[in-house]
Amino acid sequence: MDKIELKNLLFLARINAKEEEYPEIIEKLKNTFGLIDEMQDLDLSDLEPLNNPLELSNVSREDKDKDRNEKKKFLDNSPEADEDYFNVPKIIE
Amino acid sequence: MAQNDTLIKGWQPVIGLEVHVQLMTNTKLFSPAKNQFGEDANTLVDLIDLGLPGVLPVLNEGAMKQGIKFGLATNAKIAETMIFDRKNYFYPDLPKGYQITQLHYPIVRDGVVEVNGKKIRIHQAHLEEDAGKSIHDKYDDKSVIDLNRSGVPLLEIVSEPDIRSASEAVDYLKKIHQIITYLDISDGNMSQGSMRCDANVSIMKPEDKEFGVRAEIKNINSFKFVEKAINFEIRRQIKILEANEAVEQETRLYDSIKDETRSMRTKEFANDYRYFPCPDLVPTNISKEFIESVRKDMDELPEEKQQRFMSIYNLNEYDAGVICADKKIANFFEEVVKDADIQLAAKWIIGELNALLNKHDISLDESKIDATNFSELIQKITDNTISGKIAKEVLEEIWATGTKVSEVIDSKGMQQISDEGELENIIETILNENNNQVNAYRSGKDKLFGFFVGQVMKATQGKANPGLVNELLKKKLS
Repeated sequence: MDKIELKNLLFLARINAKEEEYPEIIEKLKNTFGLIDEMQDLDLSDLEPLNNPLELSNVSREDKDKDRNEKKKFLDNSPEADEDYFNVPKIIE
Repeated sequence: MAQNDTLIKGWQPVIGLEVHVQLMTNTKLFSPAKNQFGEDANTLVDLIDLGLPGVLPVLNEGAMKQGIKFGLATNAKIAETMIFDRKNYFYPDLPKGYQITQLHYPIVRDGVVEVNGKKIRIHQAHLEEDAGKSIHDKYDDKSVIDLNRSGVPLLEIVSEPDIRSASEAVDYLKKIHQIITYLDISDGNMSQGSMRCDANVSIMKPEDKEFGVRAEIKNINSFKFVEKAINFEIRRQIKILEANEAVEQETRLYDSIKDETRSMRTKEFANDYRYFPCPDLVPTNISKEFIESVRKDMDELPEEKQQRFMSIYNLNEYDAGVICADKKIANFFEEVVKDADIQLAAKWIIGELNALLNKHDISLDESKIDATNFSELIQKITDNTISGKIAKEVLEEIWATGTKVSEVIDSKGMQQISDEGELENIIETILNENNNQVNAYRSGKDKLFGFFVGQVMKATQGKANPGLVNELLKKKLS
């Protein structure tokens, strides 16, 4: 893994790391990649992919609403809000 | 692969559509907050939609049923086990940092719809949650977020690249619209965003074995724009390839004002969504019994309705097809013919009423026409109270004002003149005033018959009973 790949990864995960921390992070990731490589070498052709370790079927609920409007509580608990909206830094695509 | 009638300058367009349909459930896909359009900002929000720590999503059975209905309506395979995945990306209108969707195990696979006699395959339809809404113009220095839409269930319907022209894409989209509105799983309103469409477009030479590089066009929000956006994109790619350059695989945005697509060059590197199975939701098994219970609960589909209209109302295939194209019109027809003549009602709905709807570009429930009043209009024609010509005037009036048919006829004195004595007097006056024409007719100029009918209609302002006028004129002129 080189510096550019790591930067991309850190960006995707929104992890703010300093350049001097990079060697340590790369070292740790190498261990993880080593483990993945070991798994890649296994012959798994007879196995179904495991999507969840729990052998359960998901539950569902009836399509009935709980009519509770907690707008004020939610807005008050957010880092920044006005009386109607959550406020966030300007984002323009 | 090629379809010669769709070649443009020797190039074969290849198109696949991704249609996002907002489902009409009571609640969101994974939270019990209400699913509704047009409410005050952030009033339809639950802890789960906010992605607060410790909350768990619980699947809405209603959304699952609606997805299955779509699958059954398109002869698709319904998953025995469906699995939800996380699609990870950061954006302020997605509080959790990921969208719950279905990648490898969607609820519906391998469907097919028929468009103008051609089969277009549906690769899959999967359930996923919608994002919230960002608003950028409230403040200069920040954006604001409304999370009412966050978590609303969507069904994303992905076609195979079976479509070969922009107009075929529009017809396919109309077919999808017809199915979802017939099933009552979505209102399909494109202008409000409850049906949205992305198009994958590429071009190839008819003899090529492989498809060309495709561009994905986003943000197409009307049937008209689907056609325009795709046609623009085809022309753009032809220009590039004919200049011996390469089409880039990219996402492009359609700008309806400039009528062009342009690259969304905001990302330096490709999106990396890092999909993985959502650990909060274990795989969902869908039993055969459950599917059958959904099937029993399904509304009649367009083709079934058309067949039924042909057999019980004795409509021909074309008329039944036109009436059943829109479920609202079909239901309206059934209301109208409870009391009115079937064939006449069909003729007036297909002709005059459809013409008005098209001219004003609105749907039936947005108009002032209701079934009872329209039925009365047909009855008044059948019992000879008014002629067909006058009926058109009455229809214009009730279209504009919604007034009752009987009131329009009374207040404007539109009743048809079917009184034999009264018509005989009028005819005699006309014959006396037009001696020359009478003589010419009697000496063999048969075509003049129309002239006399016209004169009678003119004298009665179109109110004379046409059948009776013909009969009396023939008698008097012989």
